[in-house]
Amino acid sequence: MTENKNPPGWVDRFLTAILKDRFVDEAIGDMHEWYAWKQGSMSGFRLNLFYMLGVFQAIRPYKIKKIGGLFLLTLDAIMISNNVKISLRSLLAHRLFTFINLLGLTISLVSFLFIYTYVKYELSYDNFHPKADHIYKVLKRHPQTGHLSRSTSTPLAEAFLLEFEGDMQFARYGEDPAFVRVGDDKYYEGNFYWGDSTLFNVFNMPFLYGNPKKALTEKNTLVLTQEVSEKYFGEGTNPVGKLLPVKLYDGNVEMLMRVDGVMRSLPPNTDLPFEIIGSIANAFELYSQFNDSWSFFWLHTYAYIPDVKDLSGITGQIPNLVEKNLGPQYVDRVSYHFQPLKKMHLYSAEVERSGTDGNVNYIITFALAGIFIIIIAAINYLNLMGARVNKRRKETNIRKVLGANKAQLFGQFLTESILTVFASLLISLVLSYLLWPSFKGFLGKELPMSVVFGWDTLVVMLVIALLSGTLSGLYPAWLLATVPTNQVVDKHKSGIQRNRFLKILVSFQFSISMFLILSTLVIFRQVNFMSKKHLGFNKEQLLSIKVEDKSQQEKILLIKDQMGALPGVGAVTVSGETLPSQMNNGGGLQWDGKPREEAAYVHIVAIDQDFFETLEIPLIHGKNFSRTNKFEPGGPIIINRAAMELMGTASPVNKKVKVNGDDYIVAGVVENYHYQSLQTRVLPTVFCMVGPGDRLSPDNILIRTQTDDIQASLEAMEDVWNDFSGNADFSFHFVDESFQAIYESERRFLKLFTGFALLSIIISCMGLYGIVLFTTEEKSKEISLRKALGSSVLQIVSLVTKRFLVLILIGFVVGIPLAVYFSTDWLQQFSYRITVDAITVVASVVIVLFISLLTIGLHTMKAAMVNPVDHLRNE
Amino acid sequence: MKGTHLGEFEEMILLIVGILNGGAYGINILKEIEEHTGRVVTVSTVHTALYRLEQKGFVSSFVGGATNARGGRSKRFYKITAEGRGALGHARSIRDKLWNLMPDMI
Repeated sequence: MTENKNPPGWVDRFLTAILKDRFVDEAIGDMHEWYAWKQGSMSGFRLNLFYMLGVFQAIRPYKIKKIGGLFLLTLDAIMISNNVKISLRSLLAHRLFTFINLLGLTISLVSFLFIYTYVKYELSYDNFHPKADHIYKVLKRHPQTGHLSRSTSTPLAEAFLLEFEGDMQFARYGEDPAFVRVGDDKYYEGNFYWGDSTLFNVFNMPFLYGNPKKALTEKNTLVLTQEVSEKYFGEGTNPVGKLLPVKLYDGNVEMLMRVDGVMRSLPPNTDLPFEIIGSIANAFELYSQFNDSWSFFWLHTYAYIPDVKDLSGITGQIPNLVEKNLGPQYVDRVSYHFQPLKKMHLYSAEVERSGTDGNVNYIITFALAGIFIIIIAAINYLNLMGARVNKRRKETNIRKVLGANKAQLFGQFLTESILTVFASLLISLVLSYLLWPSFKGFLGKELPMSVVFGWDTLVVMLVIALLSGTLSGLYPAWLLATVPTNQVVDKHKSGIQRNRFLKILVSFQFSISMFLILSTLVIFRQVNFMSKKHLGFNKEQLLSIKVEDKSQQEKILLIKDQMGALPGVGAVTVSGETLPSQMNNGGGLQWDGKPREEAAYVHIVAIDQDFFETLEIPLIHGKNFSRTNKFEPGGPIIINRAAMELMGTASPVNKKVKVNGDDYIVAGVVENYHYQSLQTRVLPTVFCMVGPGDRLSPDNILIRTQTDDIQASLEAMEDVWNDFSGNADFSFHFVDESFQAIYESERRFLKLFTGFALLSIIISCMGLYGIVLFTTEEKSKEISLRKALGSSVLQIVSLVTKRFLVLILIGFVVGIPLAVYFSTDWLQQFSYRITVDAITVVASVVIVLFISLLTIGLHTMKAAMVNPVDHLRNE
Repeated sequence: MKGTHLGEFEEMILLIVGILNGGAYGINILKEIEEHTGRVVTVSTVHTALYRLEQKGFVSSFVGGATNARGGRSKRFYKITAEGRGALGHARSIRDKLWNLMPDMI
């Protein structure tokens, strides 16, 4: 019989571990014999299959060791107290090491806690409504471009209700800032909304006073939040039935409105903005001309559809609804999308003026960063523990020789590891408590403390701590405990094959650090690019004043002329769009006899003859408007370069085109300028001269100041303003500041990313430092010998550095492509963007290399400069 | 003493242990079963049966030598006890009695 194969060894070890002594030898021995006996008569696969079957059957409950027998050794109370004692001693004996460990763990736990909290908070938006699963936000959707907008028109909800059977309910609200008058004082209420009475049924908005079922069912009624109620009526009073005089921001009539109810303040994790809700019946009366208009978009519309099956029926019928109500030619241009409420906060980045600042991509990025940081820290811990294994060899051997079994050795290391992890858990909880306010400031969000220190957070932290503590404690224990005793006693044989694994871990750490740092650099460059890029007009010292009041808009040219005459004012113009602007008006542009159906969408901006000069936008073809030009059929328009390129002509001047179906003549072409964030492409735009009283009419005054005393100029402007205003506020903004503010979200992203990158490189370097520390210690004799034989300090440093350098470089090879892929992907959202070029990559490589070489070099230098005698005389 | 009943398989094992006369252990019992009955059973079935027989006091076991084919593990040999013989005899006598009651027809 040829004995060419043996059954797998791990099976034996497994059986040995779990079976009672009475059965071990018999089972394993007989199985082996059976294996040898059957070897000739069966195929290898069948043989192994039956062997495993036999093994599986051999495990009977009565044959397995008692649980106590398996774990008693690790759970022995005396052993535990002894373990704790030894652990504390060992931790204190290596103070620097313990400190590095604790610091790394604490930093990562704190950042993980914060990231976890933030992600959880963002995901919790509007989840507190019991019906949240069945509430949808109705978005207007352009079927071809996919463009989404949150604003819907008045007749939409009724049309849906008429068209579809099935259970559905609509709740709408629309913004209309207003003043509340108390005596002679007026208070501005920016979050005043007209709303349906169904709001209180669809959403979970519990009332403090009043009856939610009856609230807002009549005209001239109001519902307040608790804070607003306390502001006007004092704390603890029930204002239901009392009257509140309200005057709209751009209206002239004061309405006496009855308070129908007071709702409890909404939690902060909501995108519902209410402070005061007025009965929508008032709005329908005030703006009766829009009640049947499908082209006036002002309402947020929410649908409550209890049955998901109804939803698919409804969405399928939308083209019919559009055809019936708007006309067949709109089917291709207008559609509606039902966005689940729970997705509203995070998935609205594409929705125009969505009113939410959530972005699911950022959430994913943060979650990944959090996981990365924990991984880096765990690796660190593992590495440091592993590096220390050699120092602990003697201790472990003595224990082994004195009869400690594996379980006891594991127990010792586990205790040490878990002690460290729990210490850092405690420190990090305290730290998070202290750092919480600054983190909130960092995010620019009002997160309540309860989100951080909820039960689930503590449980998650505990699980993470326990897991990482156990796993990273098991590794060195395993290294030490599995080495045969006779080998560990031998001083010259390390017998420990740990190097390869540790090396992979270090490389992995550095690939993460590299990834984060390169990505940070790219983000930084893009944000910098966006705030520095010349926008095509001069944004310095440019001031924009908003003219909301309709009656005041009639006199806008008068105001403009008077302001232009003020000292310190360089140039002044009026425009239908401020800067930066979303470009709210648009229409179809036709040229070269294109039919109406092929009209291209263009922005339409009302300006005056001073617009281009004031903004310093160069005219590239033709001529500017003159004072007498009007936006009327046959009149002149000016287009931008994008429109010219759209028309595909190099000389568009004097061409006849159609805007919204009427004929105009192209008088000139101006260079493109960025009217909003660089995320958006500059679209073809038509500029026209529109007088007052039109939908397009200018309602912004743009002023270029030329003064050192901006305050005095502003006061002078406000004086002019007050002469015309009635009672409207003088509200203005600086264009350059507003352009900076657009990138607030990108800047926050950059800040957080920078934070993560810094953390990751710090933690990685701490790990590296720890390993270098132990390597040089281990090699102290080699270093001393080399020195005694004539090596220079530099040679020794390069000797040690070289081996780590290779690891870091491997990390680069993995990290760089990942970072390039990620950041290129991130850049896609910007229409105007930088490219990830070689310089950025090289710069980040240099940064990481410099920091890590510094870390390695500092300690190696120290080790290399030691007098060789110190290490050699002990021999 | 708890149940001294002998199952069919147990009875066969007990017989083989008796036949092998002190040299019985897992694998040669298995080989005997295959040889005489053609039944293919797994090693652990035999072990389980042996363990039960030992619990009932019908066999006794002792640890014997190890061989290389066994991965260096020692054998556990089984020997039939007087009680085991008694139980076998009892089972046989019941069967004989029953056979005698069987009418002689096909």
